[in-house]
Formats: sequence, C-alpha cells, structure tokens
Amino acid sequence: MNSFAERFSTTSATSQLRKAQALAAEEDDISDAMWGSEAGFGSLAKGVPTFSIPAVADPTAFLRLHTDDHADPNCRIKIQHGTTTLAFRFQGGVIVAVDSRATAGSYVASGTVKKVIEINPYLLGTMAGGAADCQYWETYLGIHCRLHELRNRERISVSAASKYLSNLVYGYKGMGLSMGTMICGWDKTGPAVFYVDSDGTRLKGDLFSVGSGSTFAYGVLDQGYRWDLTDEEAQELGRRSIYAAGHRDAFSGNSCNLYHVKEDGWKFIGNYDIAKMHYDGPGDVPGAPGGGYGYDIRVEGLTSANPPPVTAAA
Amino acid sequence: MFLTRSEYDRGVNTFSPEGRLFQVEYAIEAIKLGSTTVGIRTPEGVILAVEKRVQSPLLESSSIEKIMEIDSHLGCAMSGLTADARTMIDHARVTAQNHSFTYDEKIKVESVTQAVCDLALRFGESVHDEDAMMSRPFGVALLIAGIDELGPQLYHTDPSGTFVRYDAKAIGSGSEAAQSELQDKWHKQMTLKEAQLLTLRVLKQVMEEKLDQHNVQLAQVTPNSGFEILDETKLKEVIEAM
Amino acid sequence: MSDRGKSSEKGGELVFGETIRVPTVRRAIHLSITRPLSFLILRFPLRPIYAQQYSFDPLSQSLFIIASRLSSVNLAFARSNSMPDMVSIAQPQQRQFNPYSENGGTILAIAGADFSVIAGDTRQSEGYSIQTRYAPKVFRLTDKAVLAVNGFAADGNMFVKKVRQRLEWYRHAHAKDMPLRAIARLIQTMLYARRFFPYYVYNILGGIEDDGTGAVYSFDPVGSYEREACRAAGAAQSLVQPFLDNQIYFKNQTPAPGTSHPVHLPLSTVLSLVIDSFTSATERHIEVGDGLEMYVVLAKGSASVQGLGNIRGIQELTATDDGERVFVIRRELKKD
Repeated sequence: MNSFAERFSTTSATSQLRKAQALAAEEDDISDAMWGSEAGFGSLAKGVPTFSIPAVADPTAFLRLHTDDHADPNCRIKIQHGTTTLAFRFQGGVIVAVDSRATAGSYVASGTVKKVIEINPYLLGTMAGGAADCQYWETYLGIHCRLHELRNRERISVSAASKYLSNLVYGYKGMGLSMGTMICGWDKTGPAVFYVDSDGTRLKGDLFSVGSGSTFAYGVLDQGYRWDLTDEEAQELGRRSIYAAGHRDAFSGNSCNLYHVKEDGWKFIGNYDIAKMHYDGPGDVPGAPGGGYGYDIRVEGLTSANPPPVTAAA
Repeated sequence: MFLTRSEYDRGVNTFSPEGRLFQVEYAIEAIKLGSTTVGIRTPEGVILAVEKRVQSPLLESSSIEKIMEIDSHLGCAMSGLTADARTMIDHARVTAQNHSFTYDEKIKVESVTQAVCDLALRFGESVHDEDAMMSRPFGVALLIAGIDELGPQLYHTDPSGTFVRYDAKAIGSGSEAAQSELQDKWHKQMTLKEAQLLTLRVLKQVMEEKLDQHNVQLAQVTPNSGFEILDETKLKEVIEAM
Repeated sequence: MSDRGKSSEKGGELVFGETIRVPTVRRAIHLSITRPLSFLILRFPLRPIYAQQYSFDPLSQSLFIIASRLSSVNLAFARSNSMPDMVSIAQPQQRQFNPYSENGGTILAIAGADFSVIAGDTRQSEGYSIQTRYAPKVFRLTDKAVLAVNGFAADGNMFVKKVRQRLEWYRHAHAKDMPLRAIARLIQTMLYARRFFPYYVYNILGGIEDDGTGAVYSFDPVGSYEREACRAAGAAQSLVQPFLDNQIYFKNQTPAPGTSHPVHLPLSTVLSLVIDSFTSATERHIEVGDGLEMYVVLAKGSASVQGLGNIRGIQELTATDDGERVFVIRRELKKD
C-alpha cells in the first residue's frame, strides 16, 4: 500500500538498502552525482557516507598495521590521541569541561584542540579517541538533528541524538573507529548527558569522564559532586577536575575549555591555561577560590625540603 | 486537435509530433487548480503568502501546511498537488544539509532550487532499477524564497523542471489576476511591510471567502531572523493594517 | 576435513606465480620438510585471515594443512624451485599489503592579519636516497587558497588533483570560487572518505577567508582539522614547530615591562622566520633541503604588497590585482 511512498522516500529502510546495493555494484567514483546540483557531495552523494576500503582480505588488520601507534610506535600514519573530557549534570544544567592537548605518539601535536564539538545551539559533544572520528560523526549527527527538527517541527531529544550517533558508529563496529564521547544538552526532560562510544556502548548518566586522564578527573569530580551545586561551584569543579588530569596525565594538558548547558542552550564559559591554574589559579572567575591549584603553592615553606622555621617547644 | 493529443498524452517519455510532452503540460495544468500562492522579493527580504482553502467548518485550518522551511535561510510555498511537494521539499532539506556538512556554509538559493528541479525531472519509466524514479511528473509548483550572499531572492519552479527568478510571482488558481495586480503594484524599493500588505491584498482579490488569519498563511525570510511563518496574532495585525 | 581442504584451496587462489602439478608439489614438500617447519608456512601463502582463523601453530598443524592440500589436483605454488635459501631468516612471514612510503620534507604555514604564507622544501627522498631535488609540495588551489601536502608524495599529488577537481565542480555548480573555510571542510570530508584506507598525507591549507583575514588550517591524515595561526608538519615538524611557538605565539617569552606581544606579525618578519626555519631544518634534518618555495597570499587591497616589490625573484601567480593575490618566492637550500 505504501509502496509508492517507500519507493520515493529518501529515508526508508528499503531506500537505504537500495543505496547500499548500488554502492556495492558501483565501484568507480564517477557518477551522475558529480554533476548537477549534487556536484561534489563526494562521499555523501548517495545519501549515506561511503568509504574506500583497501582490496585486501582483512581491511581492519590493514588499518591497524598502519595507524595503531599503541601496538607499533613506528607506524606511519599517526592518528591523534589522548585526552581528558568530562561532563556532569546538576541542578543548574550540564557542565562540560575538556583539555586541549592532542598527542601523536609522544609528540604534542597540538595544544589548542577544540575537544567540545558544537553540534547545534542546544547540543554539545565531546571528543576523545580519534579526533577525526569524533569531528566527522558529530558534525554528521548535527545535520541529522537539524533534519529531525525540520521534519518533526520539534528539537531532537538528547536521548534520540545520542542513540542516532550510537547506531551510526555501531555500523562500523570492529573496523577501527575510535570514539568516546558525551552528548550533552537540555531537552523536554531537562539536562541530559549520554556517553556513547565506538564499541556501541550508550549510557545515560549524571557524571562521566572519558580519556586517558579520566581517572584523575574522576578523583576530583567524585569528591566534589553534588546535585545542588550552584552554577559557580559546578563550573569550578569542572575546571579543577581538568586541571588535576592535566597535571597527572602526560597525554592531557595545555588548557581547559569550559561550557555550561542551560535551558536556553549552551554557553562557552572560558579557556583556562593549565600551567597558569597551577601557579595562579584560573583568574578572577566566579567560583574560583583564589590562588593556584598546585599543592606546591599551598605548601610553600611547609615541606621537608623547605621546612617552616622551628618554633621553640613551649 | 483533441484526437492528436490523445495519441501522445499517455507516455511521459513520448514527444508528440509537434514536439510537446503532454503529461508535463497536464501537470502544469494541475497547478492551476491549486490554491493561490504569492511571493514578493524586496531589498529587505522575501514574503510568501498562500490561501488555505478551508472547505469545511470542521476542518482544523492550522493543519493545512502550504509554506515550509527548507533551512533557516530558505522557505518554500506550494500550489498544486501538495503531497508531491513534500517529497521535493524533503529533497531540498537534505540537499541543504548535505551542503552545509560538506562545505560548512549555507547553500545558495539558486543551488537548492536547481536541486529541486533536478528531482522534478527524474520521472519516466525506469528501465533499470535506479533509485527514486517517479512514474509521472510532479503536479506541483513551488515558490522558493531565500537569502544568501547575493541578497534576497525568489524562484519559481514548475513540473517541467524549469526554474526562473522573479521579483514577484503568483501561482495557482487565481494566478492570472494576481500576477497582473503584482505587475501594477510592485516597485524596486518596496519595504517588507509594504510587501506583506501587497501579498494579502492580492490574495484578498482572488479569494472567494473573506480573508482572515485562519485562511491565509504568511511567511518571510529576512537577513536577521531568517525564515519564519507569521503566527496568527502577527498575521492578524497585518490583516488589520490592510 | 572438507572445510580445511576448501580453505586451503582458497588460500591457493591468492598466490601469484606459476601453477604446478601435484608431482612438483610433492617434491617441493619433500625439500621443505628438511628445513624448519615454519618455512612451510612461508611457502603456503594462506590468506592472513585464514591463518588467524585456524591459529595453527607452525610446528604441529601446518603439516596437516599441507596434507590436505596434496589432495587437490591443481595447486598454486609460489616459484618453489627458484626460491632463495631462506634458512637463516626462518621466521613465519605474512605477506602484507603496504601501499605506503614516506618521502620526507617539511611544510609550514603562518597566517597574518591580512595575508598567509605557505612554504615547503622541494627535496623528495625515500629512505636515505634523494629521488629528486625539485618536487613541489605546495600548490595553489585558487586565488585565495594554497595547499601544502607532506608525507607520501604519490598520495599527496593524487589528493591535490582530486581537491582541484572538486573545486572545479563546485565552481560549475554554484557559480563562485569555493571560500577557504569551505575548502577546509571539503578536505576533511575527502580525507575521511578514506578513513579505512587513509591517504598518508599531512595537509596544511593557507589562504584568505571571506572576511579578509589570513588563515591556516591543519589536518591529520584522516581529516581532523583546526584553524590555527601557524603550523609546521612533516619530517622536521618537531624541529620547526617549537621555534614557531616561540617566535609566533611568543611562548615562554615575557614582554618587556609596559609592552605586550604583537597579535599579528608583519609580512617581512614572517618571511624571515620561514626562511630561518627551513635553513635551520636543513642543517639538522637529512630529509630537508635543496629548495624552498614560499607562497604568499594577500587579501584584497592588502598593504603588505608594498614590501614585496624588492624581494629577489618574487613572481606573481594571479592575473589581476583587484582581488586576492598570490605570489611565490623561491630560494635555494643546501644540497648535501
């Protein structure tokens, strides 16, 4: 009965299947889609992104061989790794805080990476794992959230958006994608945080931290977290946790980017240099205690190496 | 005359000896049965207005949707078989989003119009199993309004896949009278407010019912707020100002 | 049993070389058994995936697989008679598809207020031998965009070709030149389309944005990208980038009391920094040298054009002076 709609729909399951079949049949990258109005959607021309795969028996092993710098530090193609990201839900919304270091092997490839991806004015995604995987798929998620909005005349829920992303990357499970992300936003149900990764895990929760420095961030986060934190306290907790991770984890550092999601969308709070936070603190921002976070600052003149003057016993 | 036609008006892929494609021409006729739709371009933005035919007092007029958003800087009004327009507008939306994904910029009004017209031409008897083959031409005409780096623009598309840019255009059942009225009243330096009033005046002339906020829909695309459909209170203000 | 027979036949299909009949195979096997058993695995190029599926251990199970092979009449066998004696490296080896090579060299880009400088050396090497002293790594894409590619030269050249093709299509489809930020996003999608078979290239895109500011975008091989003020990539990245951090971002420098660091450097300073970066990298890195190409992209009406007149050997690549302008400056680097 619906065969007409089915045939014409660009979104139905059958059309997806048809596209997949067409892709399998059509190997060469010269097609009608190169000309006319679709000129140059490239890998997206068929509606779903398509990927070149090397003609070998095990493409995943091929990719691992050339790009996995954990298994082989001499591998040629170094994909950027290493991170601390965190997000938590509280009475005043969602706090998202990340570091800004990207490492390729032991080289600091960049100290100014934007690890918070602004999917749309109401949704944020964080970036841990492969930088390109997160950037690409979360941007892709962004256009689908927009299409959802146009088709349903209603903003997508954080739950639905995260599930969309989860389903998307699950389709590539085992092929070598590396992505650990938190999708954060505010919808009809209030503030929401979902953890999604490239293994297919999708978790709803109040508090997550992802990346090589997450254990250090959790340490600070867990002991300072309460639902009824004020906005200032929450922002400070996010900053302080990223500082701790930047301080203890060699793969994290440089600076901290802080975002706050409220009912009317997200807001960028600021960028804080981690070395500066160690010595001088985050500067004159609400919630900061004043002074540096580093314990060597707090204990100056009070350690065994630099002992306080001995007071005569009474 | 009629006889010659009937031999060649069955297949969508057969030209008549005079060089006509009757099914396409009939599709264009179908638009003339549709409700009147008016679009006006001004330097301040573009106005779209449609007549909603409320055939029954039991009909919920707000459920008639004849103006749709393509993207934040693009809107579209339709006349003819509106169901066909859904497919075209979804295609336009997907194209606009794919463009912004691939190029990190908003698609141009002309480009999105071109995309819609490409789709309009994809009819015929599908020989091999190509995707999305339509068996007949779309029976709908669109007015696509938008703003890009070239400023506010208004395009008209028809079932033959032709698109033309207009300063002011009327389509649908009352289009002939409406178009001549537009031709009289449109001028280069029109303000957005004037254009709003003009579209409603034109609609009022061609509508059978008395025009009110329930049986017309008005939308605009402006540089600051992008595409927006005027809600009933705002629409009422414009109608009262008329 | 039948399963194994089937899989070994499949393994046989993949082998390049002559097809020989059973008697020859038997002789080859005979020869082989006198050598360490792991050698047999080398000789039977089962596809890696099958080797993994059965995870046979070289000493016990390989013989079994060979036995099942003998039953099939027509076996493919890789040049069994002409194989060199490989007893000394008697390790199991897997044939692997390795389409990549590394061709050295370094690229660099710096953005100014209304200009952008994109530079690269011109040496191309493989291992320790120099293939050519002039292989350009920096390419003009449009009047406001220049792309530098580093890594595997074959991938790089192909990639530039494909980017140019896409720019052309875009021009036809949308009747305008692609803006710089659009090129940056396009490059991301093109690199990511090869996520499972990456281009081995590090890209740096420099040029002028639509708002007239100078910009530099840097990419990793699979397409993560970021807009920056400066970036070095390639063989001498770790030599050049710290120098730029210090001289461009003024990292670890304290301004004199009462002064502050400039936000943007003038073109003349930037050009000297680029030349110094490359002469120094040439001294300390064996894969850098021979020649230096510096592309300068100026925004429409940029005042920096005045300083360019007296630069030796400067050449303008743009035809008109009413839009963005592109210049190239070539310098020699040491050739040892």
